Amino acid sequence: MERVNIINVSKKFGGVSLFCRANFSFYAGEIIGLSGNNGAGKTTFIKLLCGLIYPDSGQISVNGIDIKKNRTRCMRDVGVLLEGSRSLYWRLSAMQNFIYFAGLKSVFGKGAFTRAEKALQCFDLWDVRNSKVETFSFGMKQRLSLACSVSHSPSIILLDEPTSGLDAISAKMLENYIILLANENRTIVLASHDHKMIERVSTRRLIIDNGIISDTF
Amino acid sequence: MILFKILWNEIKKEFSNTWSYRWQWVGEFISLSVFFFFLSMLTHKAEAGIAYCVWFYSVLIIGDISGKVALEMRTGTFEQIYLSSTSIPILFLSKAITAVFRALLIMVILILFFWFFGYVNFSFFKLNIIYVILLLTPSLFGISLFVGGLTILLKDTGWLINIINNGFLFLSGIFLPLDSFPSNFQRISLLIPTTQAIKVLNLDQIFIEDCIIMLVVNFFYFGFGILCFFVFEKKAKMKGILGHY
Repeated sequence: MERVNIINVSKKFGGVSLFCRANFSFYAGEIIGLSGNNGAGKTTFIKLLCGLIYPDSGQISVNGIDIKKNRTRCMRDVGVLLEGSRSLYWRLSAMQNFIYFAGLKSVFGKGAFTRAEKALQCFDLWDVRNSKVETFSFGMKQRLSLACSVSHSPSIILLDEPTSGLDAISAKMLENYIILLANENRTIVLASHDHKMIERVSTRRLIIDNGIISDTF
Repeated sequence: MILFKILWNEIKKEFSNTWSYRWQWVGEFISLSVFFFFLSMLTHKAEAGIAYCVWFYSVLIIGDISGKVALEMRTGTFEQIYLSSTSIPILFLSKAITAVFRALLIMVILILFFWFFGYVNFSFFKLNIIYVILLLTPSLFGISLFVGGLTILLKDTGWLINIINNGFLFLSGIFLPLDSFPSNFQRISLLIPTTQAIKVLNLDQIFIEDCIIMLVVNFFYFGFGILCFFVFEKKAKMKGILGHY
């Protein structure tokens, strides 16, 4: 089942071509590992997939819908983790953050609280649910960000450096969680510097180098 | 129903977050009180104080929304708004509702404060103010969207907020009557929404023509603001600078 379709996508920044006529399809249950050097364009690729950046040309569709034309509809199916600790309201509690971000994805009321309980327990944050995020460690913020980004049970999950700043135990926990999500037939796109983690987790690898994305199954 | 839930979710977050910066409210209350006192009491003209309140209401809303955009870009939460399955102007509308509530709350506390000490009586506050607030708010939302959109693109729009604040203050007829302006300035001042608002506020009787002029001016700003916001947002997405600061 095709979840993401990238057709002839090109993007330039400051005259430098990051991607040139890229064509890919991502399918249900896949974990796509995205690797490349600093500045290769991993974050840009993730942002293109979720519509935060528009391509210069080409089209990206999510579950058959053009993301540029219907962002709000596409976002119901997409969960994104970007720079974890900065994606949260530090002066609100973990629970307030989760409920707010679930609301942004149209999950309200009892449903949101049930999901919050499940997610915060899963990410070992239940005991600190009423504490302000500003008191959290970097790893806790990262875990909370991930919990918030999947609060609406999306079918496509985009993760930009999810293990950044995590200790070995937390990183392992996250790896297991990613595999669990993929087993639930979700599509995961994972950008990371951690080549070993990408090799362990991904079912397919994309390497970005000098504007060329090569696909290695 | 879903729209109401989205608005409420955003308003609740805005209040919780804004309340954590509550010293700002205290500062705004003190500055408004001082100027209100000087303008109304020392000039013996109640209308000057009320006109100042209208200006304060306007700049608080414009500054609040664009300030929040800038703050969210700096803290990193701005991109999260764009990852929502909700229309962005609706989320901005929630920010505007919070700003309106905050501005009205500060003004009501101020009026009660001065009333308690016998400096004002309620006859100062004509019913016109309700029409004025209702008619003025859409244009303020439009200007806020314009400045908010420009903030997404240029990142720092403090200079523009200063121009708007001072323009509204000096060209709306708060300090000087419009008749005393040079003719070019008079024409410019008529295009400022607060000028129309203060004009209607000072009338003993509201005529439908005045309301229509005010309505047209305000909805022009409303439409212009929304249009500009979408243009600026598209440019920012093309440049890939949505979350930059």
